[in-house]
Amino acid sequence: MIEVQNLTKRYGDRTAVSGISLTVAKGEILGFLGPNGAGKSTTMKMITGFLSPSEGKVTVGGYDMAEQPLEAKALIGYLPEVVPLYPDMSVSDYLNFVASLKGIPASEIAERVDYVVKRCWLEDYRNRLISHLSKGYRQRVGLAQALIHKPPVLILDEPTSGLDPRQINETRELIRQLSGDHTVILSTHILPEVQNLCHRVLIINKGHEVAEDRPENLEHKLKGNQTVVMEVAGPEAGVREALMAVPGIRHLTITPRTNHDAGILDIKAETDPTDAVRAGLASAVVGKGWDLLELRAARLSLEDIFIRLTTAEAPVAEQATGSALSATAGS
Amino acid sequence: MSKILAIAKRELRSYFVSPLAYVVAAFFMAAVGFLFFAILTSTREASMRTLFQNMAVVFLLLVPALTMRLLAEERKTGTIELLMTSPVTDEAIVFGKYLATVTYLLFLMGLTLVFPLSLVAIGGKPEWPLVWTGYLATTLMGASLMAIGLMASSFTNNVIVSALVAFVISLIIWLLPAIGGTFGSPISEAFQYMSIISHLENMARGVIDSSDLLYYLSVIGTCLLVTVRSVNVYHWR
Ligand SMILES: Nc1ncnc2c1ncn2[C@@H]1O[C@H](COP(=O)(O)OP(=O)(O)OP(=O)(O)O)[C@@H](O)[C@H]1O
Ligand SMILES: [Mg+2]
Repeated sequence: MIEVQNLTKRYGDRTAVSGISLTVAKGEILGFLGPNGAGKSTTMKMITGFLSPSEGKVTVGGYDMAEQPLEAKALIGYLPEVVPLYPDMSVSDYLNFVASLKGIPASEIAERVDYVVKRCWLEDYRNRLISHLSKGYRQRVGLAQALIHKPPVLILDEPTSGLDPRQINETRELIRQLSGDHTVILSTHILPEVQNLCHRVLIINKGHEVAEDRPENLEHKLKGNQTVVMEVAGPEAGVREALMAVPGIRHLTITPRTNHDAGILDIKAETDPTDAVRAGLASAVVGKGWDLLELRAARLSLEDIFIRLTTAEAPVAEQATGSALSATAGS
Repeated sequence: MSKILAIAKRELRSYFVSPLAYVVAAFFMAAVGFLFFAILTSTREASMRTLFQNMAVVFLLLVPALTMRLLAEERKTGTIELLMTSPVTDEAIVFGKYLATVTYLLFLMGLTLVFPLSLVAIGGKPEWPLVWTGYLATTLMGASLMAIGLMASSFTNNVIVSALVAFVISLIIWLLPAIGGTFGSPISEAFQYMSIISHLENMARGVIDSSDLLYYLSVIGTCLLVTVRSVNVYHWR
């Protein structure tokens, strides 16, 4: 349904998006994940035809965005990062306007407005001025305008930002229901959102694609190691030396505490996935006479994967990226 | 077409829900009315021609205030993203906006009909053909200034800059004959032709010359084309 080839956007001499390619099949939900400034919004602006790419091609429902923009745009419902609202209009006036802008026949507009108002929990707010709405309600109006013309493709830039926890859940549920006959791309910073909503994740960092796979596969790929969290009272350099000597350890991060906790070290160790390593770590500390205040194995969350994939220095990242890219994503 | 109308309708309602439309209309009527009665009482002669010239001067000041938000504000608040990702062409966006301002202009011109009508009421006999050509000329001139303002609004996302650019461009083509006067005769004549006000003077004499009509239509056409191009460039920023 959506095909993106080698999409690149340059602003002057800085490259915001560099060579992103992706395919999203009908009914699929693809999540864009990436730190601030990664290029998620820029990529979405190119997919929706707001920005023209410096290089590359976008095809929506078989229409090339550069060649047949009107046909392609008619298929897309888009919620931009900054919700495009006219503060001097009421919610229903605004939705009526968007409906005619999208080309809905006049006879069907009222019915469509009713539908999206219900769907986005705006019944009590129809006649409110948009300038009087809270942020969460504005976000809902934004979602409502994206849905108004029953678009087969939905591009949602941080759809749950500014919503309260209950609304976040309801919005996710809504997106899940819509995905049956809509194809969805959404961007987010919230990892559980990707985990329980998206069929596939595309992790972007500094404009580049760093991984693309099903969320459970990404987790699985990095299951080859364990993270051990420790709390030790001892000298930083000595502790580092002792721990690095333990067989099976791969990577160590030590953060000394300050203030009244000074002298205590927070340690995160990447190790082989065996109990022996943990035993080795414990005896290395105790054997030197330092106090071992805590030691536990942390489950590798998508969050850790995300941070590692988007943090250049972690050696595990390259490993994971390599394998994620070579695996063809299930579509 | 219905999309152009939708854009125009939204723009017009935003004029009329803000105080701006009423403030501008009130100021316009007060200024024109004051000048009209000043002329009427001082010369004892009801000169509609002077009235049209007065309206033109008031337009020069008011039009930038009416056009400054058109595209600049949409860019600033991000609503342009809604328009430009909807299945409408950039031309439709520009024409929709222009249609709205011209409709507002017609509303203002409609209000000023009270002046010739008040002449009738006090027993005067306006020369109606002159009145109508004057209205046509003033409306065309206002519409040209509106097109300049819309164009200026497409250049920036700052409404104040937009208004200033509109005012400066309008003022320059207004003053062209004065500027041209310092040159030799061919340049001076060319500048005379390019001036926005000289055509109004011609037409207010009651003569509809195709070169005057052509002048206004080409100013409007050029400005709208430049605006469409300028909106098109938003895709590439
Ligand atoms: N108009 C612009 N001119 C120059 N640089 C820009 C422009 N718009 C965006 N950028 C840059 O492009 C990069 C990508 O920005 P983008 O908004 O796509 O990031 P994002 O992934 O959506 O981030 P966030 O999570 O904060 O929303 C950033 O470095 C940003 O500074
Ligand atoms: Mg963004």
